[in-house]
Amino acid sequence: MASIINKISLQNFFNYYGSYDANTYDFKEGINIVVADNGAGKSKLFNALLWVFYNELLDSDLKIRRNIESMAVKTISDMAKNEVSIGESVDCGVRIEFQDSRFTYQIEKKFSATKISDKGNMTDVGCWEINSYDFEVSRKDNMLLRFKPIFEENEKNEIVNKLIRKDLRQYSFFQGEEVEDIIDFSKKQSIKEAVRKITNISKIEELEKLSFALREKAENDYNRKSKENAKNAQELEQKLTAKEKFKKQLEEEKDKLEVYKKNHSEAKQESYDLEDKIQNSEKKIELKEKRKELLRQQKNARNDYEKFLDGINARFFDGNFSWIAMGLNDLPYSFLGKKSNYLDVVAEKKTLYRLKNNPEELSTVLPLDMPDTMTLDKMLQDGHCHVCDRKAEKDSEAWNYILKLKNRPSSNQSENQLFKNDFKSFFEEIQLQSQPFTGKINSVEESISNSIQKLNEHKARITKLSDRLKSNQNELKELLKSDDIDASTEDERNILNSYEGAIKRATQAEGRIIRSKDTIKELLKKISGIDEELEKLRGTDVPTEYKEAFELLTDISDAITNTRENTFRNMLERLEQFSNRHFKNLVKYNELSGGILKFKQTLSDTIELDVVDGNNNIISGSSEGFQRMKKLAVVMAIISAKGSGFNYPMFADAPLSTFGKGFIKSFFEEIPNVFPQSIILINNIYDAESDNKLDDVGNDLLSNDSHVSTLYLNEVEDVPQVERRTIISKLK
Amino acid sequence: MNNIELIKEILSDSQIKEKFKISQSDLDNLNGDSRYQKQVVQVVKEIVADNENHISATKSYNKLKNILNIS
Repeated sequence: MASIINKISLQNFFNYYGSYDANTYDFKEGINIVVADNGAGKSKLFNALLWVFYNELLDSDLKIRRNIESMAVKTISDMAKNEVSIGESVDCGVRIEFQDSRFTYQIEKKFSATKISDKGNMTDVGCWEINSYDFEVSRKDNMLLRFKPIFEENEKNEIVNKLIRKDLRQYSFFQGEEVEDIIDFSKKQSIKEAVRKITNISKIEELEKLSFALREKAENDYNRKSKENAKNAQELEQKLTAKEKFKKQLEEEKDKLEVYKKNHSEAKQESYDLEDKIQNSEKKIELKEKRKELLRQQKNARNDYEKFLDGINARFFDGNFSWIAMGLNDLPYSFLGKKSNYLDVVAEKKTLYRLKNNPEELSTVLPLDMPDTMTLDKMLQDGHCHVCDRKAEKDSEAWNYILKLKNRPSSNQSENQLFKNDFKSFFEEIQLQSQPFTGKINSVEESISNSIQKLNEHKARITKLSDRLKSNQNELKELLKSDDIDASTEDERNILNSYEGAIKRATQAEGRIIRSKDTIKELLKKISGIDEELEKLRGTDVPTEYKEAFELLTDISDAITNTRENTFRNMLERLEQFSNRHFKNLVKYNELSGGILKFKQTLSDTIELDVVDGNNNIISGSSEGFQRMKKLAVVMAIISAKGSGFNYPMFADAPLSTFGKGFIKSFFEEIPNVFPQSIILINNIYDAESDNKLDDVGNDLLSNDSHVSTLYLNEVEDVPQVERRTIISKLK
Repeated sequence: MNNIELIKEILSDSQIKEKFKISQSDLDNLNGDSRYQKQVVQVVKEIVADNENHISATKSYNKLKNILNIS
């Protein structure tokens, strides 16, 4: 009969405040569930067994296992510590009762602590004195009532080992994330180790060694007898020496092969270990290079933006843009009108002045000083008036009139006194200076609109680059697990180089393994050839018993070698078969098929596990839930493939943390097929809003139809830590 | 795999079965206490037991010499 845990009791152990009686779980064969929200004592219950098995506890602050002595004060319930005065003691302990077909056992680990000071925090080690650590084991015959204490330390440890055998403990005593490590698909060695454990293959290996040694001794005796009776002893001796030489070479080659296999296995393992990192490294390098480029682009974009902003002010006065003229569309017409009015007034005043002073003088309707001297010269030279387009031949009346105009005194020379100020040049200067602006007035609004668009484009470019940089920065931080995202990429390059090196070494070792196996075949062939020659030289007088003994032991050692190889191969097949059976059952409530698990022996004799689809194509990238299910399926297969059943309980804390409802349901249906008793600590089915604190899956498990033996609910009130205690309620 | 299962597995090897004419009933009748008639069965049984008891190769061979008639 398997070991079955009947009770686990806790005394002032973390939040389990109070005596053993106040904190007892009664478990049964089959499925036992402890449901608790985070912080309600699941992991502490797991810790109780850690203490029993390994004298260790998981320090939830440091996430490491520590020896009980190093965290004794922390282990005692705060509520209990708070209640005692100086000089008083608190007892803290764990008691487990379990039974097999004949006996019931009690294991208790405990200590007491006395308060010696109340200075500082009550959890301070200096405030407490630990009195003693006790490890007590007692046993009773199932037919009797009284427990008898066990005193021998070895016997006590053997009884602890009966609870869950030490070498199989990793397959049935684990916390959620530890499932990842039990069967690490990336570590080919881990499946091989599992197969070795469940097949007792090391025993067959030892037997094989013994059979080789026996064969060797039989051969030595046979050779000795042959030499005594040989007709040609010298030739026989030579052949025997030659055979010894080949045998020695064979042994050396086998040793070499083992080294090549080891190298291959290590290089492969290294490459697998680096595979995750290498993807990260490649990604890191890519992201860092992208970051450099983005930073460069961002700098350029900012410079362009700054330049553009600087140029914006210039556009008010730059004749190419003339923004200052915006809204002045009517001003040029108004200006020209005013200028024209001014000139008319000036011309009128001058004409009237001349007429008044020289009534006989030539009067003209031409504007003052018009045409200019150069034009008048040309007209005189051409003999043609370009104003009225008539002939003005030299010395004609018209020609003399033009000459007279040319020789007339300049208006400035004679008429300055008519005006206090002359605004003509003022108007002309304004007209000249405003010429570039007046021509652009109509396009200023469009120009400003274009510039605003350009400005927005600059801003958008900067924002886009900032967003890309931010995203790049987040990805880098996530990958680097650090804020120092601008550190050099040297580490990544080293990882890439290491990966390439590992692949190269694995390939090199593969070649060596193949060549070494060929060499071994050659040497065996040579030895076999020598054996045939030796038989002829041994003569007929050698007692047949010696020959028969040698041949018999040779046949037996060959058969043992075959047995070892077959055992391993058969177990691998069984493991594959059971893994797939469990896996199929575990994923049956999921719409997606998880694939088929395939185990394969590698060149270096380790085991590779692939997940393939119906067409034998490798599937990768399943969800975390599926991945963990595969591992649980393999763990279950390791137990099932043993064939003789598993004689120990499964005790798991949060094994289902990444599972959906379908997985949880199928897990509880499948687990009794593998483990005679399972104690599962979970929060997945806890529902704070529900009356009984269970969700629909939890209530299904609670119902009488389910095959759950016991179901406990752990709760803690939302009170200060010194008042906090776990309340255990048995729901089933 | 216990010792009897291991002995059966070794004697189930096709070459051994054929060469030493080991029948299925020979295998079925194997148990820890019986005296085995066939030399090969006795030798395998001895080797498996010696291995279980961590007997050295020299001591084991000396014991086997009697069964193998080479003492």
